[in-house]
Amino acid sequence: MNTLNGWTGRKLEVDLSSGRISTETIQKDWMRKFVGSSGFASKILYDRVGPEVKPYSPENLIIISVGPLTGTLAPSGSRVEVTTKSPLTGILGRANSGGIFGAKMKMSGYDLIVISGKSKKPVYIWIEDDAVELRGADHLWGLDVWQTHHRICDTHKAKLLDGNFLNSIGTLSIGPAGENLSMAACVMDGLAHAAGLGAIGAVWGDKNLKAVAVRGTKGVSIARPKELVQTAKRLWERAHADPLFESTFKYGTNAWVGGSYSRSKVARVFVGGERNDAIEEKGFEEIYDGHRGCHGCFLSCDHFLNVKEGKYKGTKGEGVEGFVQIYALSFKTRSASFLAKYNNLCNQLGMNVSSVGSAVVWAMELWKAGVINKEDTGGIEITEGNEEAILVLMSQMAYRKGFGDIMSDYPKEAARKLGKGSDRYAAHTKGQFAWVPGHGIGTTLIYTLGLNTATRGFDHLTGTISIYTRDWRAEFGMTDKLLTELGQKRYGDPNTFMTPWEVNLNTVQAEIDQENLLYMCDMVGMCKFPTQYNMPVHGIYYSDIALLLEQVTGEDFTAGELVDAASRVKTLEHAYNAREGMRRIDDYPFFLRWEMERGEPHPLFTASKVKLTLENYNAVLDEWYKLRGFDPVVGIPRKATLERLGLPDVAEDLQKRGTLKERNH
Amino acid sequence: MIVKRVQKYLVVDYQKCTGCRLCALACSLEKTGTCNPARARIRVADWEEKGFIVPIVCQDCAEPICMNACKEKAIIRDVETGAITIDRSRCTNCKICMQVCPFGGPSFDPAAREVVLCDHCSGNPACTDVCTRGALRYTAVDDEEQRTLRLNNMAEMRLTFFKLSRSQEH
Repeated sequence: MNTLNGWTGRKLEVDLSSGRISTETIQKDWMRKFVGSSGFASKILYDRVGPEVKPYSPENLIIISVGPLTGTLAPSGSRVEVTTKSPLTGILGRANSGGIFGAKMKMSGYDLIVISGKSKKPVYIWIEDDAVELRGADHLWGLDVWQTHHRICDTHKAKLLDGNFLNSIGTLSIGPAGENLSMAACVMDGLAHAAGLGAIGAVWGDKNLKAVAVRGTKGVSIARPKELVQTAKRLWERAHADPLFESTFKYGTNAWVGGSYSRSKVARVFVGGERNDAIEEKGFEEIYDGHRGCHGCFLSCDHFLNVKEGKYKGTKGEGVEGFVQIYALSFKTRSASFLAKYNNLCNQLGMNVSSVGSAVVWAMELWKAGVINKEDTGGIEITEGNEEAILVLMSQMAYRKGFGDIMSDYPKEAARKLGKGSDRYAAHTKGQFAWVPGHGIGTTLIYTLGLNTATRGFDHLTGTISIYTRDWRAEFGMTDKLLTELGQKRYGDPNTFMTPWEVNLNTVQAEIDQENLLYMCDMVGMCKFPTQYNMPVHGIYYSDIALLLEQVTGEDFTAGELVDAASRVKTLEHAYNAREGMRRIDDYPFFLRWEMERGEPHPLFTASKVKLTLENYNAVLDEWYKLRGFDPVVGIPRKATLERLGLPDVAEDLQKRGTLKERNH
Repeated sequence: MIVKRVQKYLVVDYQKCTGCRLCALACSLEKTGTCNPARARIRVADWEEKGFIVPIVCQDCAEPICMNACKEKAIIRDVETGAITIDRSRCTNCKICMQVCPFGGPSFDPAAREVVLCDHCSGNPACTDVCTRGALRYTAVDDEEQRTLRLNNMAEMRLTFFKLSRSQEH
């Protein structure tokens, strides 16, 4: 029956209300049109979760999806996507995770798990190849993520199968944060990998779904095994030549934190403080205890943590993700061992490190400005560098207690609840918190555009170009010379990557190319780290992904087709958000929007300091809409664009609902 | 037993293992044409909470317990590579070798329904080729350092398995 390679072609439908479980075949034409993972998921979300469905209604779906490269030998093919309508933003909510769950899910024989309805009692879904069952989770409810994972592994004898030693159970689970509907709640993959943004964990909590656990022994069939091995090895060797390879291989996402450096420089100008020093390299040496990798990843950029001395002695875990460091810098905490503690607590409570970080920085700024005091916080002094306070607030956020209850709703709802003008500090785009240090601004004009036009709200992972200009990357060998050459080679303009805040319309095309690459990664189930997103010179690019897809699936894919598919999914997601009411104004950085809506500049922000003006932003935004085929007046996809991309049904739907107006033709 | 060329071993440096399972993917791809760690000859045992990961593969013992335990005499030493392998014409898949091996060397392929054992891919192991963090090497154990590493690892693995197999019985 199964003639497919790469894909499994099967979808698992689980209705939590009725307990009905069924398996369906995925339409063959979807594979070419939407490729997989986030492509399939966004399509299903568009078709089945309309504006009439509220994030917490039983009709909302949780869609877990993997791509054709997930679980294969293709470089870093470990990713799994969790998609739902986000309770934080009310629009598309999707988040992506590494770890082993994606691979195990694929090996159990499913590309998609679609969960609907709402269970009366806590449950978890147990999948062992074709055997799928809903199991009671009363004994798991209230446990943290680590305890949940271990209990499930114990129940199902994770380390033994047919007498073999084999740790083969992948779990996705929520912690107390998800159970208590915190807007910082993420879904955890195993112990230390997270699908973070969009408060998707809260949807799980609302549906009374504690976990999904899977053991897969079917494997992934590969069309051309020998060629795949050769390609994987070649791409790996080629990556070595990239100037940013070494730092990535050594520090993982922390290699990026130099970037946040310049970002927090902006921030500190903004809040009037002084610049932080980065956590010293030595600090990491103290807490790192060997490397850790996601399934099938040659980079293995994660680390084991083991704090050997000091206040947090004995803290063991995995991490730390770059954002932990970014926020720790903003908290003005300098000790690496605190990073490990913060990281672990987030993982155990099932909270997104950056959601928590943003909320804490928000509270700190409020405290500093005298907007809140001990009476508001229940006696906690939220001063900079107060590690104990941060840890207490984190627990409060997860359990929605004390001041943490308000912080848990950061950004929009928290500011509304607290009042007192706290909204001026609560930066967000489309309801998704912006990194507080930057207040909606990236390191360059084009980076800022990408962050704010992204479909899941403020987001660097689905919509930004990461080739920074003349900044810290030079330290790693990403010199001006290399950047000019790259700009000339790709876009015929040596200045493409050399004009951080000036309007250069060539950069918009570069940005769109990068967005397509990021979408491709999510659609095929591959990590973004070995691609040109992270390694701009020798990383994996369109043609490499097309080749890998060909060798894995046996179907011929061209780079052009993939770019079209990526544009299709990107446009579909914008159409989804448009249907939910998102318009051009929602694509502006926080402080610019503030200025446009209130007719006065943001009280804490003077644009001159970061060289970003409304005029400049409008220029690149208009160009971006033009290239994407969107109507610049309203900022939504044109009918012709939708039809060109093979989405006439979407165009028809938007027209019927009045989202697409006549002049839009 | 006479081995025609210098005996090479799969030397496991488990402290460098990241648990990425590339070895298992490459192995299953080589042997079965699919990416399926459940069918691989090398497996990754992962005690993530302890920060402890061990690639499990046949250690090619000088005096293999499995060889003595096998009533069918299906466990043999390959004359070309010196690897301990299974003679498929004799094996009855009774799993006694799996029971007695202290290192978890032989394993059961759930799809083919047979016991499998690493055979060094006839001298070009697929797994060592893809191990990017240097946890696996295919090398002749001729210097003191290599020998110590190998012996230490064997001892550690054995101790760990003992502890773990105890901790599973609850």
